[in-house]
Amino acid sequence: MKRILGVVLFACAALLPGLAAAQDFPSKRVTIVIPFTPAGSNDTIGRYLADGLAKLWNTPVVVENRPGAGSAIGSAHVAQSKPDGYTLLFVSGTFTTNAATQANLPFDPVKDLKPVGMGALGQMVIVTGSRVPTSNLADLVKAAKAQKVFYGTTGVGSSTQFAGELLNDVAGIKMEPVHYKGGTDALVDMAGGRLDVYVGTVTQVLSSVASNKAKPIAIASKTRSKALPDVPTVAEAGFAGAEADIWWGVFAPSGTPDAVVTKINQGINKVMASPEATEFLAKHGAMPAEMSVSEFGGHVTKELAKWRELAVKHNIKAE
Amino acid sequence: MDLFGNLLIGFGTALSLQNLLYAFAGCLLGTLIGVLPGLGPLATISMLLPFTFGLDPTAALIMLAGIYYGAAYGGSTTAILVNLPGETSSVVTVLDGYQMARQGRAGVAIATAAIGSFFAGCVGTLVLAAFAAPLASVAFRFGGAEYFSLMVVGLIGAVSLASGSVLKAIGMILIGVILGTVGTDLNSGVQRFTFGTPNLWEGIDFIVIAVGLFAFGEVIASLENDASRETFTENMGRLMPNAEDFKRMTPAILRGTSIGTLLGILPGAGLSLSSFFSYSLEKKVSRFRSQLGKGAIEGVAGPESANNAAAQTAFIPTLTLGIPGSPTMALMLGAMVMHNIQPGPQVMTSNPDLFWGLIVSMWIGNLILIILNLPLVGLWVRLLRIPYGVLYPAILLFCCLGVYSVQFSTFDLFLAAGFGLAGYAFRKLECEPAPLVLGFVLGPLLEENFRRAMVLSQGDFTIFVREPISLCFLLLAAVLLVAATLPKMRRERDAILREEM
Repeated sequence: MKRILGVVLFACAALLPGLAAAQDFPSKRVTIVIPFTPAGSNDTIGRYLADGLAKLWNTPVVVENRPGAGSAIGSAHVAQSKPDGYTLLFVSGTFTTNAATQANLPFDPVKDLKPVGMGALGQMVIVTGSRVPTSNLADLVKAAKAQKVFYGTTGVGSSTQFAGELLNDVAGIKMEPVHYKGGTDALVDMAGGRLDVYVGTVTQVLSSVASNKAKPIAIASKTRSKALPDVPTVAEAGFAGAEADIWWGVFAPSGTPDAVVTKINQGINKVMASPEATEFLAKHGAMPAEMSVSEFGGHVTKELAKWRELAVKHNIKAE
Repeated sequence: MDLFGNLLIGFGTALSLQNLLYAFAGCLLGTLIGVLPGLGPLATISMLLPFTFGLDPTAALIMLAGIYYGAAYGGSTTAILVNLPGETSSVVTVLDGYQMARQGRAGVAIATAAIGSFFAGCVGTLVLAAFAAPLASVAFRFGGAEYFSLMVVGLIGAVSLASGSVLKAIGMILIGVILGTVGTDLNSGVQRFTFGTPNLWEGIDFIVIAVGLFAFGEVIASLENDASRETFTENMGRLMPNAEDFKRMTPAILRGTSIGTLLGILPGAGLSLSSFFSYSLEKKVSRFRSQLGKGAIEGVAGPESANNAAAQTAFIPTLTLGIPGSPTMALMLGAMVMHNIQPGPQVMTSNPDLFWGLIVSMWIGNLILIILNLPLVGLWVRLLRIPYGVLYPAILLFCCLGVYSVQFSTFDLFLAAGFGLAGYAFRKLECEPAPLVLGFVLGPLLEENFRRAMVLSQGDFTIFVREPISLCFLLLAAVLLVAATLPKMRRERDAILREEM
C-alpha cells in the first residue's frame, strides 16, 4: 500500500511540472517563426494568428521571419529550439511536400517537430488554356490521352507539381510538367497559348479566370469554392482522390509537453474559427479548418505518406 | 478608351491633399534612401510595407511608388558623386557620371540625370495611360523562345559594357552566369554549388552581390589610398547644362526613353536591362561614342532616361496582368494583394480611381522629384559631405542593414563581405564588375527559358527561329557579334583602349 502510494505520489510529482507549465502557459513572450519572407500568404495568415493569440493570452506573440531553403531554415531553427511551447513554427503544406522530395533536410520533419494545430485550409483549382478545347475534367483527361498535354508547376517538388501529378495518378494520364519560377509566369504562358494546364490556388488564378485567360474546370478539394461556385469539385467531375488542398499549420519542437500543445491548439482554434477570421481568410482564398491535436497530427501523417508515395511513384525528387 | 476622361479621374484622385502628401513623403523618403548607398528601394519598400497597412490602398500604393522611383533618382546622385551604384540601373550611370564629376561637371551630370528622367517619366506615364490595355497583350506573346533570344542579345551586348579587355569582359560575364546557377535548379531540383549549406539552396540574392562587389569593394579600395578617393561634394560645378550639353543629351534621352519604354513592358527582365541596353546602344550609335566611359553626357542621359521610362512602364504588366517585372514590382503587387486588390486587367474597371490615380500620381511624383533633386541637390550632397571616417562606417552599416533585410540572414552578410573582397580583387585585376552583374541576372533567365522552350517544343531546336520575335532577336544578336569582331570596329576599340591607357 505504502509502495503504491509512493508510486502514485511519484507519478504526480513527475506530472506536476508539466501541468503547472500548461497552466502558466504562456507566462512570457511567445515567438512564432515563419520560414518565408514577409508579405506572402503564409506571412499574412501567420501574423493574423499571432495577433489573435496575443489578444487571447494577453501576452506578446511576436512573428520572426526566417526565410530560406524553401522553409527548411526556419523549420530547422524551431526544431532545435527549446521544447517549451515558446517557439513555434507556422508553415504551409510545403512542409510535407518538401519532406517527400528532399533527402538532405537539415531536420527530421517527423521526429524533430510535433504537429500542434491547423491554421487554415486553402483550395486549389485546375485551370486550362486555349490549346486544349475542354470545358470539363473528363474532356481534359480524354485530350491528355490523345495528345501531349503540358501542366505548369512552380518548381520541382512544389505543391503545384504534386497537385498535377496527383491528377495524373488518379486519371491515369501523363501530363508533362513545365517548371516556372512562380504561378504568374505559368498563367502568362497559359494566356499566350503555350501552356495547357495549371493547378494553382483559387486566389492566384482568379484574375486570369475573370479575364477569360484561363478556364476553371474543377476544384481540387472536397467542397466547391465560394469564389468560383459554378465549378464542380474533382469528385463531382468523376475523379475523386485528386484533392490537393493547401494548408497552414503550427508545429512545436518535439518534446513540448502535451498539455502545453493542447492549450496552444485550443488557442489556435479559438482565434481562427471566429467570424472575423473567416472573413479575413476568405480574402486570401482560405477558410478555417478546426482540428484537435490528434486530428491535425493524423492529417500531417496522412499528407506525408501520400506525397512520399507519389514522389517515389512519379520520381519527383530534389537532390 | 477615353484617355482624357481617364486622366481626369486620375487627377481627381492624385491631387487630393492626402494623396499629394503621401506622394511627397514617398519621393522624399525614396530620394533619401537612394542617396544613401547600399539601401535600395527593394529593402526600403519591404521595410515600410507593414507601415502602410493602415493606409487607404490608393495612398499606400502612391507612397510606395514614390519610394520606388525616388530611390532611382537618388541612386543616380550617389552614383555620380561617390561612384557607388545603389542598384543595377545605376551601375551604368557610374561609368560616365563619375567621370563627369572628376572633370568638375558633377552638377551638370546630376541635372542631366534629372532632366532625362523627368522627360522619360512623362513619356512613360503617357504611354502607360494610353496603351495600358493594348500593351498588356504584347507581354503574352513572349514565351520561352522569345525570352531566350532576348537574353542572348543582352549577354552579347554586355561585352560592350566593359571599357577594358574583351576577354576580361567575357570572363566576368561567365563568372556572373556561374554565380547565377547557385542554388536549386528549377527544372531538375538538383542543387548546384550549394556546398551542402541550406543557406544557398535558394541561390545568391542580387543585393548581396551588388552590395558586396560595388559598395564593400569600393570601401576597401578607398582604405588603401585615401587620397585617390574622390567624392565631388565640394565643387560640383554649375548645375544647368549649357546649349552644347542640351544638344548632345537630347538624342540620347530620346533613344533611352524609347528603349526603356519598350523593355519596361516585358515582365521579368525589362527594368534591369533597360539601362544596360541603352548604354550599349549609345556605344554603337552615338556620335560621341569614343568619349563614352570618359565622362560623356550621353552615358548619363541615355541610361538614366531608359531606366526611368522602364520604371514607369514596368507598372503595365504589374497593374494590368498581375505579373511583376522586378522584385520591387513583386513587392508592389504584394502590397496590392494585401490591400485586397486583385491585380489583373479588371483593376482598370473595378478600381478606376486607384488605377488612374496611381498613374497620374507617378507623373506628379516625377515633378516632385525634379524639385527635390535640382534646387535641393545641395541638401542631398550635404549628406555625402560627411567625413569619410564617419561616412564609411555609416555606408557599411546601411549596406549591412540592406543586405540583412532581404532574407534576415547573417549568412548573406558574410557572403556580401566575401564579394567585397572579390570586388577589391577585380578592381586590382582591372576586371569590371558590371558585366558580371549582367551575367548573374541574365544567365539564369537564359537557362530557364531555354529549357522551358525545349520542353514545350518537345525538343525541337527550330522553335527559336520559327517564332518571328525570337528570330528577330537572334538576328540582332548575330549582327552585334559580327560588328564586335569586324576589323574596323576592332581598330576603333583598340584606339579607344590606347587613349585610355
